[in-house]
Amino acid sequence: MMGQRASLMRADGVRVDIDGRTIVDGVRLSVAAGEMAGLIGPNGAGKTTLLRVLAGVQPAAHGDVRVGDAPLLALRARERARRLAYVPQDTTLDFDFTAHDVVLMGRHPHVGRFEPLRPADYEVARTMLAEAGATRLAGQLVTTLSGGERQLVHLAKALAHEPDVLLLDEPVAALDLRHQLQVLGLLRRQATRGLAVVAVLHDLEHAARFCDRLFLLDGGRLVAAGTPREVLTEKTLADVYGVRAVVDDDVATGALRVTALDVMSGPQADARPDRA
Amino acid sequence: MSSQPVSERDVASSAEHGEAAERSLGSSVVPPPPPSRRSAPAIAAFTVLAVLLAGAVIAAVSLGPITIPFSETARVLLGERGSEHAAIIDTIRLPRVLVGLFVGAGLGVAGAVMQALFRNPLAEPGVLGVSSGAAVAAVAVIVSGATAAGAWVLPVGAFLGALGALVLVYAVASAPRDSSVATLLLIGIALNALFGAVVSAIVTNAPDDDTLRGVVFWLNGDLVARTWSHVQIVAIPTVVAVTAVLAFTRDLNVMLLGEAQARASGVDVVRLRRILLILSAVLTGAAVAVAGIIGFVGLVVPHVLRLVLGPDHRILLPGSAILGGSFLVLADLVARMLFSPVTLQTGTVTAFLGSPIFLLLVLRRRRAPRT
Repeated sequence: MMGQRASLMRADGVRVDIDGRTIVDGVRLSVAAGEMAGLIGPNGAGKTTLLRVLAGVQPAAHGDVRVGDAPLLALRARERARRLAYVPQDTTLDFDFTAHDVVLMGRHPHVGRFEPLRPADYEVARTMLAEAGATRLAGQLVTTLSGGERQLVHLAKALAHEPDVLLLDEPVAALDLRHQLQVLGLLRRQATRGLAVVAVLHDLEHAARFCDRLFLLDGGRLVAAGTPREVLTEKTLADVYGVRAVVDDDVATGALRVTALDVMSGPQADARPDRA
Repeated sequence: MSSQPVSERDVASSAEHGEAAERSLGSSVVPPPPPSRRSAPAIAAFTVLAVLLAGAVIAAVSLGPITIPFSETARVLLGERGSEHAAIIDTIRLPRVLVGLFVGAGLGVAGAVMQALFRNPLAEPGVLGVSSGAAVAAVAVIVSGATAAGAWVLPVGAFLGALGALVLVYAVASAPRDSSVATLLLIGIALNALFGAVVSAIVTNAPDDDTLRGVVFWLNGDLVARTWSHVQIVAIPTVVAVTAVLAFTRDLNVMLLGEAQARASGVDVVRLRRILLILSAVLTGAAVAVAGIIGFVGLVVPHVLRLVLGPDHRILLPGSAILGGSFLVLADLVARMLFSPVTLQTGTVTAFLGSPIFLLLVLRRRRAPRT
């Protein structure tokens, strides 16, 4: 799959230090057009920080990040936002914007400072709200929405960038079952349409079922990369998560199923003094 | 602003709408537009604001120890000559009203900008200690006698004081991870106390009574005895800075999403912040230079506008300029007339009106769920 399509997002040798601690160390990854990639790993593995680096909102101490052929940080903010959109995990907002207002903000990088928003921009906002299944929320104030509803609105805002690359930090963490499937299906479709999608995911079955490639982080380092079948093995789960697990095929979905049995005792559990 | 709670069923059916829309995307059929709640109300609101402004100006120019008929005032303001009251209007009432207008407009816009900058509806030049910073610099300029160098020394000094205070607030507020409302307010309290102490020290050592009166004037702002030279000092920087701020309305909207989101949405956050810190310091400095510390205008005005028109800065910023001007002109009218012939200071009236709203905002935020 790789190599056939253009790589839209590439990172090489990325290292991030925060307050003297190395959070991400020497990570290398590449995501192609049409691919949905999952960033997985235990708590504190550096997934969110890595995603923020890819989004250009977190400076890296070392490393090269590229969108298409362009170095990420060489791009002007507007140009960068036309190419990639980022949905953080925390989308709380204290100001009474409507959902429609928030989605319209996704058009910001496409409209010049002294230009007004064009009818086409309103059209895109409306389309993307529908795409995210959030049309009903359009006139609602985001301050009154539940966490899951707000997530849908921010997803629509990200789509309104009309980006090449979509970066999402735990996009389904706040959602109920139905909305989880709805959002993951939506991301899957965006990939099928030619976007590169990178999502931090906690649920390994989601990762197995919806992603083409997985990047497994542990202690800031990339410890495995490849297809879900290559990455999600009983041995890696034991090494990285410290759990005894069974990995088999789920008859209903056709994807991998990960069943964690119990926490392993011994060196694995103690070998992580740096975990917050 | 009506907002009904959304039930799960609403969301579910919206999802169905969404899927239907997805299926029909190829034929570019889009679901019915969401209610665009703001364009028509915005025109109505600006009409109301313009009428309010005209009314406030005419009332404030007409009313005083000598009452001038409103119609006569309107004719004089529109350029008619030969009124027996022309002298009162031209030399006493009008400059005072115009100073109020520009100071109010500047403080209203500065408040709205600071609220976006700090993502906090309680931020405001007075609350954050930025006005105090400007006042300390102004007082220092007066006591040192530097005003002899020219009329521009005072506003420039006030601007530098405001900028220094604002940069300090920003640096302290963004240092800890915890950027809660309380942190920002505590920083403001600390700065106000510090600057208050500095002013007290200067007052104690004031060389003569005239200087002392000049210094006390700054502690609780007033529009008494303002002249055309004051109008000049405040008008130019205020008009320039407000116009400049209007170029950043959509950036300010995006800033409210938070720094990371703003960056990822195409805002050059560092540059924008620098520009906005300077512009709001210009507005605060110009206001303080001619009127002293007048608190709460920057809090009340954007707050009321947000309640009626929502938080969109494309409407909020010009609205804050117009409503801020009207509000301060009316507050000054109340200060002059309420206990006439005894007059209150203008800052006293804005504090009377502003503190309850400030408290309401604090209470409202405490109830707001933070999920």
